[in-house]
Amino acid sequence: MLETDRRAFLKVGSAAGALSATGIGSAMLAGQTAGPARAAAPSPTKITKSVCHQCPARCGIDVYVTDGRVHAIYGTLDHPISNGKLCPKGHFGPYILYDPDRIKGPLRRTNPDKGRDVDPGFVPISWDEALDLVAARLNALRARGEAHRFALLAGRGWGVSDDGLRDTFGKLFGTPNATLGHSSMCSDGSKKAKQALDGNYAYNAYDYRNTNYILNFGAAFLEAYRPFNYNMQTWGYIRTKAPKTRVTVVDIRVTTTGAAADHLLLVKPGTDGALALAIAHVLLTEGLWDRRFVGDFMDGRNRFVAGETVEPALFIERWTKDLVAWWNAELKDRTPEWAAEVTTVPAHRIVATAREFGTTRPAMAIFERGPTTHTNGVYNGMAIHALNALVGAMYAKGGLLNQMSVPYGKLPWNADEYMDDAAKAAAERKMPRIDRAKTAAWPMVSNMVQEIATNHLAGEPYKLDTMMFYLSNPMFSAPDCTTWERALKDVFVIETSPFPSETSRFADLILPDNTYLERWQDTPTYPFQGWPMAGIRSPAVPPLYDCKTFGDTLIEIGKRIDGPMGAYYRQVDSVENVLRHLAKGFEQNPGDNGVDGFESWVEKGVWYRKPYLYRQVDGDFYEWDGVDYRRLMSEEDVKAKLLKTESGRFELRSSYLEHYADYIEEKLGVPADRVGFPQWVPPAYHGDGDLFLVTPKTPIHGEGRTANLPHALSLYQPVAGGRNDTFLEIHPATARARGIRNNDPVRIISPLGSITTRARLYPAARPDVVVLPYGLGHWAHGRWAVSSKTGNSSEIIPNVSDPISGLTANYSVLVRVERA
Amino acid sequence: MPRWGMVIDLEKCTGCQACTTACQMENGRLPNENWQDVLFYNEGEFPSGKLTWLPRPCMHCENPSCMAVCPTGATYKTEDGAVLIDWDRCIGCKYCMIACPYGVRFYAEEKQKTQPDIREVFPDPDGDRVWGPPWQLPADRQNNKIGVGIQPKNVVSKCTFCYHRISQAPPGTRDLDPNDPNLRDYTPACVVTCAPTARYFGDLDDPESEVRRLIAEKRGTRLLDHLGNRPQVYYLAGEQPAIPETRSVRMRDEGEA
Amino acid sequence: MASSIAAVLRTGSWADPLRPYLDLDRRPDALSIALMVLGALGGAVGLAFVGYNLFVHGHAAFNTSSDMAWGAPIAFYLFFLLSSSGLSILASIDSVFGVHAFYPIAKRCVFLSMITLIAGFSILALEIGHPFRMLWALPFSLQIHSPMWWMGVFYTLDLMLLIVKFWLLHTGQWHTRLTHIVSVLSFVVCILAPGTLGLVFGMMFMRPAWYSPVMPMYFILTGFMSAMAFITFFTAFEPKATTPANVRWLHEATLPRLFFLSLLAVAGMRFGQLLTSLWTNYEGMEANWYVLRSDMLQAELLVGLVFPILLLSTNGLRRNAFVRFAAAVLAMVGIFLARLNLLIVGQIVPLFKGYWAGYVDYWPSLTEWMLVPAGFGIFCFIYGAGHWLLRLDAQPTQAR
Repeated sequence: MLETDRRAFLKVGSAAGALSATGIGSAMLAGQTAGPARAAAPSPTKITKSVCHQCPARCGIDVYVTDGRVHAIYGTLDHPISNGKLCPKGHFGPYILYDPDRIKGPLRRTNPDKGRDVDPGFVPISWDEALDLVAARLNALRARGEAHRFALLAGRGWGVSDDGLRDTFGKLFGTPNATLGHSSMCSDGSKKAKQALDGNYAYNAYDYRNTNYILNFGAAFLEAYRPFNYNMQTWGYIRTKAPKTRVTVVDIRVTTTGAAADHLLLVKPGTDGALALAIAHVLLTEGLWDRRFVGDFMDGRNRFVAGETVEPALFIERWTKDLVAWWNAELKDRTPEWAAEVTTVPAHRIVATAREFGTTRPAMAIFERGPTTHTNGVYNGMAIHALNALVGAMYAKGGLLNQMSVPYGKLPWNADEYMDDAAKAAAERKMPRIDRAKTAAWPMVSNMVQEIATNHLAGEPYKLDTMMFYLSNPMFSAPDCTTWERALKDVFVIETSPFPSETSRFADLILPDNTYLERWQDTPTYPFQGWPMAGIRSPAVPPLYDCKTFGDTLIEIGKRIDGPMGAYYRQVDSVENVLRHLAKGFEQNPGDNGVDGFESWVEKGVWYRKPYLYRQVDGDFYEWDGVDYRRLMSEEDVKAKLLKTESGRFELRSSYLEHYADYIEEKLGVPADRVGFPQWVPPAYHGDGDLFLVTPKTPIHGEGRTANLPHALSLYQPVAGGRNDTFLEIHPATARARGIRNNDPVRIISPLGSITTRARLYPAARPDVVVLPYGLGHWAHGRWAVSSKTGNSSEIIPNVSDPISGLTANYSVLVRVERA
Repeated sequence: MPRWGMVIDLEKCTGCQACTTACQMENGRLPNENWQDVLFYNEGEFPSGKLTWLPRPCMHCENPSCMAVCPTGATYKTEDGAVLIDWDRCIGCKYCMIACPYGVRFYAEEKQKTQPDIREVFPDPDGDRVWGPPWQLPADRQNNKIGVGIQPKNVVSKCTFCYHRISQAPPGTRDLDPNDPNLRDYTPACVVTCAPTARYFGDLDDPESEVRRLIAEKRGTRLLDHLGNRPQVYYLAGEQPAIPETRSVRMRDEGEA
Repeated sequence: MASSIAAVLRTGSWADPLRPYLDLDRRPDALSIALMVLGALGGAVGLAFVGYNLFVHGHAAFNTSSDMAWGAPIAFYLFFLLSSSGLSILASIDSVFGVHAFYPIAKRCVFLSMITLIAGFSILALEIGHPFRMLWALPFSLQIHSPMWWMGVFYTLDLMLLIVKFWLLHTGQWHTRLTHIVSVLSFVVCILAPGTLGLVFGMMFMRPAWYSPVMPMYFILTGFMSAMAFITFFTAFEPKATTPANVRWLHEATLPRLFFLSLLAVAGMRFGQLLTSLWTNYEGMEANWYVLRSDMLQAELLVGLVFPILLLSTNGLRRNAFVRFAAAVLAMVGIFLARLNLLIVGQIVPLFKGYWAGYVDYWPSLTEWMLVPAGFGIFCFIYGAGHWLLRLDAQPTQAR
């Protein structure tokens, strides 16, 4: 931990300082509800470098601790993401740490009955007892050859020292279910769209600072899109640089992003793809595509004319593949007039957008969850991502990149050597996962968390015995979430959240995690600017309560499993030990900030190494040679490192999708010979209502970790005046037709049931869309979280998913709204 | 002696409210007691409705009307330009709250809009302050005389420009740049955290300060300038014309009446 | 019970030194007993309720907020303070301007003025954050640019002069030079005090619904009207068959006429003020439209002005004690609502709270309403005692 005297005037009390700097546990002793004693003597402030936990962005933070208490958190100045700044959520850390409703130690359920209103009858239990209890259960499962009936579901994973431990745990234990993830409720659609076209199943990194045009489809750049903090830093820069970066936002509701942009196009939900196709159509008909990346007609004469096919042989393609085939099969008919019908955006605005986008370079088209959380999500995403090829944004300055991985040190223990017969037999058996991801049911997806409850209830493929949860609460957050209440009745539930939750109400055992300010953890970056980066959390204060960091809990359980698995985890020992081994990788790869090992990593809080190694310049790919991008890459190089499709090019007819042609035809009705093209597939709206229900994340929403913070609730939905609670944003005409007045209580009804909230008449809203910010309506949580008058939207959102990506089609739901 | 002032560039501001939460954390504010608030305004209708926003700290006026009406001299102006409240002199008459044209003053003795009441969850152990959250500013940095820290009961509170920070700045500082590691801890919390760098803080009396340059180049304007309070917070509107002409846009026909 | 207490007072020798000043030998009349009992009850219940809630919840027991900083308690305070000034002016008609027809009510007016002031200050003490700190912080600060500071100065002077004046009248010194000087000073101060209180509001340029150079005039005038209501309330049934003709004339003609005129003057001023407010587009003045739609304003105008004016519109009506009494009650309710409306209209449009803030939501809490029995309780109890013991109907034995 770094100790710094921050203020000149504080240096006076250095004797007292030395004393209290070592005052470990003073926060614990002083009691949680009392403020600090008002002492006269100045106390020194100790700053611990850590990483924020309120969203996935991994901002470096300075945690200010005086007299054993965390009293402030600011961004770390020499951290590439935070640069000394924070988003609104970053400052919530102290409230999270000192949340009065935290679970203060392991708890065991005494009431076998489970239900919403059933008191679990929790009794405190020691960690040894708790871990032995889990181990006994798991050892018995294993002995019965039913290791697969143990599942571990994680939400926000961070790095090797938590999420990354699960794979080995599953392998040694013998369950395919240790790596269940939440990504199918997150944003798998965009990754899948990119995989289809450029071969990378990953979110992109972006060179925002050098772009001059951002065409943004449904990515809440200034609200939720990661890294939110850095996005805002970028915004301040790109919107005041010369030339000013122009921004057009396509969304289905008024966001601060859309309001701050130059243009906001409010489309009908799920039709972003149609708009993107029309923009592509205009780029081609008006000859605005990037010829150096895409290629050109042999004679330079543009033959793209609306409605007319083109002879493929006439066009010489560079880094794209099958542009003309795409045009002939799809684009030629995707005129702005056609798109105007589908999207409700007037044709002249589509043309204007296309011209602006096509004539400004560098330009990029970005998108995230908005367009992809529909049954046609991947096709919407592909239509948008294809624009990046047309304007030559792939790997260009001011364009899109892919994230490089961190050169961590290898862990010195080879898990394969610790596999006993049971583990080997399980590996042989290849049991399907409980979520049926990568089975015939969902062949193309990586996770299918929203199916777990139904699958378990149906016993298909089997029934779970024990399920452990880490940073995930699908009983609140999954579509049709009440199904989980039925499903988890006969499952032994282990919850690790340090806060009460719906899951903990159903838990048989609570093994509470430490909050992020009390724990060790590595945090390799999410896609950011391409070059590798990894932060580290170290405890700013000793744990306030008898809690254990999740990674350590998992390791401790591992130690108690019979056979070589236990031996393996005795080697691994602890999260801190894992981190020390990871940091060895930095010895050969010192970071730009001098981090070359564990101690310096902890001191600086982050390791990173610039630059990004690749750049496309005018249709040629170059690799960094130590000074500049000067080493020309071969086509093989590009295929191996960047455009990882079968052809090694940006495929406008996706070979990846064509491998699943029959499946896609069956599920989406797209003819098998067309499945590879980015194209218009109408979204399947579900529900029996007439209004689209959108449930966005607000800038204050910290992924389920801020639900019980009164300060957060007091600022929750500022755009529509939702303070201390949330409102349903509804257009005045829509409201009037239903007899709803401002502030009236309203009921939102879907085939699954109804929830209530209050109406906010919002004239800027689309008349066919109602907006209810997501995150409120807990029925089991801390005292503030359960006090909301707004219901939980997950209860009325049907469980429908995009068959290709598996992403939940949350924004396709049509509801009815009436006065309550 | 500098005369501190703030510049807020609305072209950069993203309305994220980090200034508000940073202030709440640094100054131990209650929920809704937003010394630094962000106000949202809406004009027009779909599809051309316009959403705008305005961050609003205390204006630390040159001619503060709150100070003029204070019957006890509890509200005062420092030599370096901040308008502060001496909590040991304030009698809680709330006249300053009436007299502030910008609505920046707070009296914590009101019903909490966020329930349950957090003051009852974290009571002050001595019972003489409004509440006692564990994350409050260390005791040696709290100061009733400048209205910093958790306030005693029954007094008015307001933004101090983080006076406990700015007053420690090295003499001769022209601009408090949070990107300068040596000045960062003396810069107001909202300025430190502002991600798009929409906030600048510096000496309004120094013609060479960054704040003065910005005011000149980007046509800094002040809220309700016709009232003559002469705020020391300037707004730069740029292409983001978000300075509301009204104090609370009239609610029109939205089913409200 | 009250009469047995009175009996103890009458016979106890401990009270002897007070006998020259208090009519301890007199039997309290029904009015005194009723006022004292009701006052003690109302005051005790009100104060206990308010005190308990203030102790437990602090000022959060009020529905006031950072947006509506001054609520019903301040309205109530204004009601008492301005009535006090009006009563003091009324008391000066004879002693300063020599209109001897007013002698029969002079002492009573001085007494009423004194105790309304005390009731007002009591409410203020319950309303402001640090009443005890105020006692030293206000005088030593010399904040001469604060209208509230001057208000404090003038009302303190006002109370002191009223006490001296009452003492002089009570000891029969109706026509001494000292009495005249005190009376003139008291008159000046009781114009300055409500005038300054008017400035507390009228100078607030950031609150256009209040910003007005005539606010002091409005305060003085409404204070006088409210004083007329007070004196009428307490003397409506004063004229008996045995009452001398000149006193009857005062109660049945002069005072009601003056009351009527003051109501007309207030109505005229209020009409002009409303008309100006509603006509202007000036930002912040839309509050007047909002308030116009509220029951409170309609009640203020109807109950407080229209009905009393109609009731007192003819000589015949004015001669009827019940009518006078009813008009006084209505006017007092009306003027109380007027004070509340004034506070609301100046604060209902929040200052920089954003589009969605709308109008400030305010309705006094039960604790705030309980200040009514508390304030009136204190007031009635003291008045009842004064009515019994202090010969409030005393007049100079001979005209000067």
